[in-house]
Amino acid sequence: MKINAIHIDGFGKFSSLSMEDLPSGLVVFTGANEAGKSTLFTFIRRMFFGIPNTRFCNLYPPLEGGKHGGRLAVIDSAGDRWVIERNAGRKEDVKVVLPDGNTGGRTELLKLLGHADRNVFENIYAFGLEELQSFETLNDQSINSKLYSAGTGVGVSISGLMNSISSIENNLYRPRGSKPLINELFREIGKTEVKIAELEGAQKKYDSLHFELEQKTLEIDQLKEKSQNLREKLSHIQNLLSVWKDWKILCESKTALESLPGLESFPEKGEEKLTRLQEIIEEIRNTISRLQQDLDKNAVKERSISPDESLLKQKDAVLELGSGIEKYRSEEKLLPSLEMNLRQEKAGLSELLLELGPAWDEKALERFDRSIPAKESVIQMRRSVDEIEDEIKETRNELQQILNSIERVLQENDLFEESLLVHRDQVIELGNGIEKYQADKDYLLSGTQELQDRKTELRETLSGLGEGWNENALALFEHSSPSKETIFRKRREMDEAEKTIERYCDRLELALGEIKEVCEEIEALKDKIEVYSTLPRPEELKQGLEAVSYLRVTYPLLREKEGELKSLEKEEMLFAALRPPKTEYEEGLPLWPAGMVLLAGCIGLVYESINGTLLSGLVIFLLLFATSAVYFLKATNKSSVHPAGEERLEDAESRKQKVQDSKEKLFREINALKASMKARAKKCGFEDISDPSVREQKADEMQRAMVELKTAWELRQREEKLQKKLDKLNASYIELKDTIRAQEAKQEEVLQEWKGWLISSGLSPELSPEHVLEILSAIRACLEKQKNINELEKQVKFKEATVKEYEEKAYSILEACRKPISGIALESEIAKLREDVSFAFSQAERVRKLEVESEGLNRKKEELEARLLEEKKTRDALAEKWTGWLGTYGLDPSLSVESVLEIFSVIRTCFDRQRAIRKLEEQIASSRKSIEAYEAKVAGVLQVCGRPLSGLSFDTQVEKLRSDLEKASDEARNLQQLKTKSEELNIELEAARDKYKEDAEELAVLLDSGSAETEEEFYENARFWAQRTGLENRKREAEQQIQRVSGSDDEYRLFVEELQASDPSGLKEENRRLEECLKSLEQDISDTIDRRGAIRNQIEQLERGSEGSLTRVMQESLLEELHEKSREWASLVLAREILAKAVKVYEKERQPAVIVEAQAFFSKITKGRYTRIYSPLNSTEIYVEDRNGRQKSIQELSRGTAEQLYLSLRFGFIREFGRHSESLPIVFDDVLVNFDPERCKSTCEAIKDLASDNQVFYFTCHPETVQMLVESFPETRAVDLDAV
Amino acid sequence: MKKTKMSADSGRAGTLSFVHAADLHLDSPFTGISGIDPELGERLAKATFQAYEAIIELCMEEEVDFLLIAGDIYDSADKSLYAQVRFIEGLRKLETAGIQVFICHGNHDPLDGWSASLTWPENVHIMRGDRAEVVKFKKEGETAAVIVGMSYPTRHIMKNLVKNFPKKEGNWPFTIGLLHCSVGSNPEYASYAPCTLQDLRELNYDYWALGHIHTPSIVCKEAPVVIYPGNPQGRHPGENGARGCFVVDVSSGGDISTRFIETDSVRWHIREISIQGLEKEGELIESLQSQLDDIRENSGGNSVICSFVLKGRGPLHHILRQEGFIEDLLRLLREGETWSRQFIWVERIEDDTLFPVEREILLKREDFVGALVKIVEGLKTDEKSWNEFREVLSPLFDSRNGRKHIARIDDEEMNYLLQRAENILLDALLTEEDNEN
Repeated sequence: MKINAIHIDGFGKFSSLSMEDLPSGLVVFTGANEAGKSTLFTFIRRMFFGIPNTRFCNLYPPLEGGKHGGRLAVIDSAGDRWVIERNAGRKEDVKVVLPDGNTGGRTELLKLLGHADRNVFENIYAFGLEELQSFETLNDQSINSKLYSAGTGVGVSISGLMNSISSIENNLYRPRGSKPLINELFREIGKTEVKIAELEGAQKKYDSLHFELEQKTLEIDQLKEKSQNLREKLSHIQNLLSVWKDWKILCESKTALESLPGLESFPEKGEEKLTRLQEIIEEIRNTISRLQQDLDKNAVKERSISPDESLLKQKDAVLELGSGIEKYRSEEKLLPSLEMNLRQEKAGLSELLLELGPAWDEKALERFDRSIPAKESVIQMRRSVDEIEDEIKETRNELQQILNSIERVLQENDLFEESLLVHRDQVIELGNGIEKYQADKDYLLSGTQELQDRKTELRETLSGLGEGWNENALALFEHSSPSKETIFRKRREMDEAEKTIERYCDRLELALGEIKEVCEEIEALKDKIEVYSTLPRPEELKQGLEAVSYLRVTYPLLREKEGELKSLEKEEMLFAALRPPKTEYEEGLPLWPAGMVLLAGCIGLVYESINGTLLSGLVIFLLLFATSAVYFLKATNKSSVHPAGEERLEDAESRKQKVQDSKEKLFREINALKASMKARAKKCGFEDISDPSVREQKADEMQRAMVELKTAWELRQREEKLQKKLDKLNASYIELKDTIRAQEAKQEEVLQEWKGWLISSGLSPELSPEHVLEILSAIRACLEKQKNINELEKQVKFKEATVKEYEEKAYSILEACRKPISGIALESEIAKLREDVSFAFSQAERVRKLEVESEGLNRKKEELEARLLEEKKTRDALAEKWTGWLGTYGLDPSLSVESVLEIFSVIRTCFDRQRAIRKLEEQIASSRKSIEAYEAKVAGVLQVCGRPLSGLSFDTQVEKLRSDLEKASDEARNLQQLKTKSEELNIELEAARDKYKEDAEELAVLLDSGSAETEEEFYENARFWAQRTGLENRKREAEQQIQRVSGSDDEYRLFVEELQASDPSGLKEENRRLEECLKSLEQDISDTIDRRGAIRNQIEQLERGSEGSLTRVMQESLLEELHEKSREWASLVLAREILAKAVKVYEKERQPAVIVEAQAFFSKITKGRYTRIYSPLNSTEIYVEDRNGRQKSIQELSRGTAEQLYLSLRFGFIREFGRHSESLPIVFDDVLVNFDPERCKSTCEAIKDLASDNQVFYFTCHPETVQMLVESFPETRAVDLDAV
Repeated sequence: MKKTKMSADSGRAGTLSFVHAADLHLDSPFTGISGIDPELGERLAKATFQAYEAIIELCMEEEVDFLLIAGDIYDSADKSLYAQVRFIEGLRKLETAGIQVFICHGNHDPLDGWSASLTWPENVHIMRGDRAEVVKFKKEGETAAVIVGMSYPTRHIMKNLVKNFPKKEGNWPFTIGLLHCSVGSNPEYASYAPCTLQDLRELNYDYWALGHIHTPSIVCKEAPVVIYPGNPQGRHPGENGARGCFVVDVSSGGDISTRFIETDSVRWHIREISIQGLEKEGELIESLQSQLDDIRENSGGNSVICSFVLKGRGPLHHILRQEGFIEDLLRLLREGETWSRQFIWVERIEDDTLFPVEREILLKREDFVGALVKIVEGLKTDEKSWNEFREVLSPLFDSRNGRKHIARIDDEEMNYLLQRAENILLDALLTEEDNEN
């Protein structure tokens, strides 16, 4: 890559600096201190890599103004042009214009730079003396790795990669770390392991728990057995204790029994039995005495009762009478009321018959037809009479209505009037015409006014046109379009002429200005030329310059010769002092001065030819060529004289001689040279051979004069040119003036023509075309107005006629209608008339309708009257029929239908009455019969019973009979009862006597069975017996109790024996002791059971414990993770190792490549003094080896040589780097200052080598360096920063 | 529990039916799966028990005559009391259902590995460890089958136990051999009680109920039928596919029909996905998701633990190599998975994708990358350097914990790790341009 152009907008002291077309080889930037070398150097660096990140860097603000920043145009290895632009100092603000014209940024820039970074660039490509002197910068790790990565062709920092791998690796595992993942996993696994180990103990624990469980069960069994035994014992003691009371009773009973008297037997409940027997006997005795008393009482009662036997015999008849008494009483009571009813009914019937009429009796009643058909025919008759009556009434009403209507119609007809109707059509037409009439009348008014106005207006316009213009003149005037066309043409012609004249005038003015300008310029030039008038002649100057260049060339020769002379003198002195001196110049004169002279000649020739004075150049060249030829011949002659085969002394002598000779010769030569130089110097105006500086000054002066001369000549040339131009301008000015004059004449002609036309048109000749056009348009307007007025007049007249016609018509009609002309406006008169007519018209319509109606009404009236007559006839027929009907029934013919119907209902009531009378009569007869029968019966009975009829009512007698009968039957019943009771009492008495006998026997037996004579004795015996049985019972109970506890037979015996042997307090003590024992034993058992339960729980828990499953799964998961991570770690470690190894290999194989390159450079620079550079592996040390094989470390090298070594190493790196990456421009900042000229030169050669591949910028403040570089590279471009 | 027929003959007209299971490995943990959270752990810890319960249910549902368990009921090395207790619990259920159980113990649960305190239910018969035991199974008063079996008295039995078995006698009905052993050679499994198919044939039995090999297989279809039912629940990525036990029906004529019944509740899947042709991460995620959907649809309601292996060459390789990318991907795929009845757990995504650049081309390069690849290549033949490289791993692998918990790296794995290391470096060193070439 090479920098093609540098543009600085503003950077430090530079502003708007441009350097274009920089060559691809070496560019030397020269300048004194503060000329801006570092600034430029920094600018290039910053353009590439931006501002470094350090806070203390110099930002190089634009001191001379301009935008901070600039551009670099670079051409890459492919020959494409890129532009890198940075501005305003922002770090990332880089713009790259790509070869294809697109813009890019940082990425594109990095690509272009081949991934070289600031570090590499600043240490290897762009460096000054300071960087050169520090080898450490070269060993910078990043530079190294950059170099290696340059080899890989990738932009990755190997050390960065190494670090990143290490860091990931360390995050995974560190042998003694705790945070990394694997360490943590180990810890975690350890923890879980412990947990699992704990869980794994479960089975063992389970087995041991089971064993323990068995043990406990066994223990419990044993304890239970023991407690069982105890319990048995305890219950035995408790048994003993429980029967102790019984035992005591048993013993006591036994002794008591023994003490009682012997009594073999005694009846059971003997005492009780005795007492009961006694009581029974007593009771029986009482019963017997009561029964006898009762018997006596009954006999007395029987004797006191005697009932009425005859009455009792008639008992049934009396009872029958009793039952009939109620019937008899009610019939007796009813009879009078029935007779009364009968009488009333009969009276009612005769009344009703009277009501019907005198002819009516019960027979007539029988005869009368009162069937339903007869009644129906009456009703029908009544209905038809009613209907016909209604119809007659209705018809009459209708007739009345019709008559009313006819009356009303006749009244209305009288009101109508019809005279107006005759003129109805005319009146309507007139009414329709009212609006038009009004409009016409209005128009007539306004039209007349307008006509007046128009006429005055026209008159005014015409008077404005000027005198003599009236309507007649207007009609005469020619206003055709051709005449108008003429006016337009004329006007155009006049305008054109005027414009042309104006244009020419402008041109004339311009020409005048130009002439003035040229004159001024000529004047200025003349002044300038005046300044150069004092210049020397050019020939003289040319000679002077030739002389100077000759001096410039010969001066070093002279100096050399003088030097040689001095050395010769020194040698001569040496020879003189020691021995015959040995000349150094064994080969005679050196040949190089001849070459130098020839070279100087060449330079002179070239110089002069550049300056355009080839001739003088040739002269100088020939002169110098001759000199060199002479010298060469001499030198070769001298060298051909060889002092072979002489003695040593002679040799020395001859050498001395030779030295002297050559000295002389040299002296001569110097003099000749000086003479020639002086001659030249004189030509230049020097007295003697001047100093180079003075000479150069003179040369410069002359050069300047030469330039000035050239300028003066150029100025003169220009003056001449201007003069020529002036002449030309003057000529054209005159020409222009002539043209203007011709144009003015033409204008005059046109004007004359116009005037002629005006006159011919009868207009004032002073008028301009515009004026005439105006007049024309005015005339046209007047004509238009005239036409309008005529039209208006016509219309007004027409309207007037119409109005008049209408008015006449209206008056005639009004008259016809006999309407007075009231003096109001005609229109309203007509309107009123129209309203009247329309009213009359509608009235007529109505009258017609009424007439039709009255006709209809009369017709209807007649119809109704006929119908009424007919209906009356029908009514009469019906009346006749009715009278007939009445006659047949023998009724009064005057009876109405309603009365007949009434008779019907009265007849029915009569029949009802008749029926009731008959019924009553029957009832009365039956009642009388039954009363008589009853009375006879009563009398019979009384007679049988022997009782007289007392005169009392029959029913009372019956009542008495009945009560007597009841009394008699009661007495009879009582007697019977008493008899039965006496018999019963007798039987009872007999039975009581038997019982008494039995009981007495029983008592005797009882006493005998109780071994007693008396009852008292018996009671005594009974008491003893009771005592005895009581004791025996107690004894037996006690025995049973004991037996129940002890068991039977043998066990009982043993038990009793035991009872006999023990005492209660001892037993109680034993019992307490045993109870305590048992209690503690039971406690033991329950404790053990609890313990066993706990063990069971534990076992159950162990059985349910599934925690292990999860833990194991988690452990496996952790182990798997560990496995994965360990592999990951291993891969990283291996990767790091491979990388390290690769770096090592690369260093081993690549480093020599750098060093081989560096070695070539170093050898070249030191002119082969040092042949080898080497750097042992694993060491940053560098050693050099000289051509004799002697090794030196850097410390042993001189400063200059060390710097040359560093320079060589950098060159080596550059070469190597460029092989794999884009070669960047190299920037040196005065690195050669410490080099001796020779090494300087050889270094230049080295740089030249480098410059074949890389662009090289060399910054220096030393002109010699510049010169040397320029000498080494003829194509070098030197840029003087001072001059920029 | 899904039923899959492995034999055509059906119909339960047979006079004898039994279930043949083996290698229950109750309560032994799942291996080869990292990053388990406790909830998943809980599910996995239950899985072997669930499979065992499925077997018990199967026995009761099918109303079989007896259950055969051919060893490795649990891992006695785990000393899991829980496993033993739960096992016996299951047997008790069978006892109530009147189903007999014949058990022989294997290398993982030798006779001496069981807790002495456990009492076996009445319906269980455990084969003796000192010799082959002949047991007669009676059905309705008649001997319906003869079962000959032998347990491992201790863990390491390397002799051929079949030699101890008696030949089938003339009056024996259907005869079953019950043994935990390796028939033939299977490099995946340690060879316990090794024997040959010929050894089995010679005894003239009708059925060999074997255990030890975890992959279900019918070793021999013709008489004698020899079957490894496999383990009823796969426990690591290698044990993928359906797992279960066999239901065997024997007709009155002695015809044997077998059915394989799936009993696993969690199944392992390994899916390979090629990244070839995939341009963007989104496409890869889509492809993974669709694989997951496919697994979910075809897992028959089982939970699934699956691992993806990414293979092939493609532009995604570089992205996959980015630190944390695969972890993010995993997190994305696991997102939203709940531990409901059916879950799918993406256990890992293995990046086995190839470098976009052919290694041969790299080997030819004369630059740093070339040097690097050459070093790795050289290691394969240079034993000294190989050992040096092994040495750098010692800080971890030879540490106390490392020796204890981390598997050693064998030569093959070392080669793999070196390749991985090389890939790490190449990923860092090769630019995209290189990749494109």
